Amino acid sequence: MPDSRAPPAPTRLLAVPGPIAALFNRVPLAVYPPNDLPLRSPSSETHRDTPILYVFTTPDGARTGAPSFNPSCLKWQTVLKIARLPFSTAPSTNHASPTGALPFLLPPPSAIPSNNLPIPSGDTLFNHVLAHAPSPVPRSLAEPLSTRQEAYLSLLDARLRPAFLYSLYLTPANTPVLSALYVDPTSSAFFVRATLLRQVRHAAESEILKTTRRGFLDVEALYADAQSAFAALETLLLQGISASKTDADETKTGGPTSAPFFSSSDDDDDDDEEEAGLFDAEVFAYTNIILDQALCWNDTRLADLLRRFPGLVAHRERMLATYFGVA
Amino acid sequence: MPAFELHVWGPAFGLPSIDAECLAAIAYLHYTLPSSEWTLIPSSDPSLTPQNRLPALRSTASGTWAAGYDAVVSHLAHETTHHLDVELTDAQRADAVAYSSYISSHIAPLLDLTLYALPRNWTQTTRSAYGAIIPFPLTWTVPIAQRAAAVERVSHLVASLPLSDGNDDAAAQKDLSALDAAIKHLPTSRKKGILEQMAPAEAATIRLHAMAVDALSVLEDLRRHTAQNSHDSSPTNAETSSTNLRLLRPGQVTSLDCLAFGYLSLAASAPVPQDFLRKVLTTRFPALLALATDIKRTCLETPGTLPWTPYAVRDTMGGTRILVRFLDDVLRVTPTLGDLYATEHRRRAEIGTADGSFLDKRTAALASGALALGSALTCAAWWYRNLPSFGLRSQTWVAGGAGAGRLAEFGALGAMLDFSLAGPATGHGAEHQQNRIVEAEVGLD
Repeated sequence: MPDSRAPPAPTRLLAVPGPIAALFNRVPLAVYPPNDLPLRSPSSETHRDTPILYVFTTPDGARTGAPSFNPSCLKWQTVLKIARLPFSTAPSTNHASPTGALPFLLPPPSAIPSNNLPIPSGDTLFNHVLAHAPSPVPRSLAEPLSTRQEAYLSLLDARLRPAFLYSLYLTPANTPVLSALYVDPTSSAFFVRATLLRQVRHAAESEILKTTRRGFLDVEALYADAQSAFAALETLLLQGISASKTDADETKTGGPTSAPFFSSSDDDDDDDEEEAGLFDAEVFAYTNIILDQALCWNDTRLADLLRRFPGLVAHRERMLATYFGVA
Repeated sequence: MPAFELHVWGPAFGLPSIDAECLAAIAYLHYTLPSSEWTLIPSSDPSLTPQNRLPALRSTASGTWAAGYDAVVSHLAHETTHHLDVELTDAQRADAVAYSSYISSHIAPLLDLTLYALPRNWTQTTRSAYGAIIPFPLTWTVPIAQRAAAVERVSHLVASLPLSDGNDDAAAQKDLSALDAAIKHLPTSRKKGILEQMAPAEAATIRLHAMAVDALSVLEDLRRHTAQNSHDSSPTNAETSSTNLRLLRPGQVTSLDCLAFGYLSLAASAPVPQDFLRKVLTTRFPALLALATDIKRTCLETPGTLPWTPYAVRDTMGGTRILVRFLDDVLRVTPTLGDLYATEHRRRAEIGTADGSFLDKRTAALASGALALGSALTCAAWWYRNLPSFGLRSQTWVAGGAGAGRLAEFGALGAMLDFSLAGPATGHGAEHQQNRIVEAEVGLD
């Protein structure tokens, strides 16, 4: 095909007018830089200097650093706050986590590839916090839990958690809360939502049955267990206040703090600023969610039980004010 | 007439029961009540209560049941004036609640591991112990269900443990070919780590040992704390006196002591081959072992013999009941149906506590739904069986219709003749309607 090799002879009709040819000669007018990777992809940021904690939260909550609405996420969020480790939160789901459970911490980008790996919650995260906190970690947080605190910690898992799960997942009146928190953000499709709701409910049910070792969901017994757990925790908290008061009476007379922390119970404080510890974070993780008005609980039975124990309520408020800046 | 019946799992390992909570309840009742006021029935039947759990306390006057150790203790306190924890201070009561929940969430898994999850212990000790306390056909179902429940409870611990029967090494060596065996004997330059050199069973034992020490030290700290407080008040006590062998109040038995006794004595008495828990108890926590022994002496032996009563339903009703339990157990492990059955059973128990009506709208809907589904399935099956099977070549035979001439019956030649004599056939549509599909197996190669 010889025609294609030689350019066709210019005809007057089809010739491009001069100004337009000049314009097209300047195309492309501008070459844009390539698009950035999505913001959530780890390698997109090279200049981020704070770690990100991926938790269950809303986009608004992530922007303002509000407490998460998931107990285990809130526990670690509080631990990081107590350690004064600067971090930001990001909404996420279990599927995004390397271990299959939130929360996990993504450290700031580093030249060493192994330092870029996400840190799952648990002892690894705790050690990371201890190692990377800017100022010395409060003694209350760095010290291991006493054996008595370990025993009281089992109250949260064995007695309070089943009642909490029942109240959130299985109480029909609280279905809107459950949907708004865990189901609706996942998908907008009706069938996906319905299936997911059924799945999380079934999981909660089997978890309760496994923990309580009863043959069926005995609602009254669940709430009675929760109440006994609250009562025992309240007693432990007030023991702390009486112990620290006897110390305080000798040194300074007035102005006892409004509510004590669990960790400040047994030994006298050298520093004037009282700090919370791991145990406080564990308790606060449940009490804050139970008492949070913003979640719009319809069935407030668990919250009503908790409000009978003013020490725990005051503890929650003090934690909120101290570490989350909520008055 | 005794006022209470305590139903428990039967005796094993020289103890009155094979279950820790049952042991605790027996000790509690025997210490609290005189023997004339209660009877001990080794029924080994958790389905007596909807909670599906033993120990279960029944008060003969009101006929009410309480299942589980905590419920038994509070039920007894409610029905009588007997309560061992009355004199506790608020702080001690909080401790009792916290430590009892600690025992059932941290020490109970250790026992589940020792008695049920470790395969060697299960086959050599626990399964045969169950065989001695339950009647015949149930020995096929109950121990397996008990083991499955226990393994499910400790699944989060088992997942991280390299559990094996100990027979794996022998089996692996048998499978080695001559070449593999020769290679295995060649010296390798690479040094193995300590954990790699150990057999998986040894590594598991180390992990289990550490877990047991962690869990039991919490209890030991409480005991030591209580003993020190008692020393402050009365320093004349000897270290070994029974005053120091209590968890909450020096020299006083509480419900927490009974609960700890149940778990510790079972851990110390079960003659299991993989006995990490007993070793930890005897070597690291002799005081806790002494506590269990002392509570056993105080609560089980000092008040006299236990008021054993044989399980009453040994007549024809008993046989029926055993059969019903057996069928129930079998139904529960049926693949798909079992889940549905268990869920429905549970839901019924939940409704039963609410209003107690047996036949409600839900049940009616469920029954009619099952009926509709069953009939639909039957119809579908009947229809399916009448379908021609797929993949068979179907052949069409045209019967001589009204429009075809008589010569058409003589094959192709007849048809040709018929056509040439009578002209084209007219009734094509009618013929096609008379076609029949006939199944025929045709070999294809």
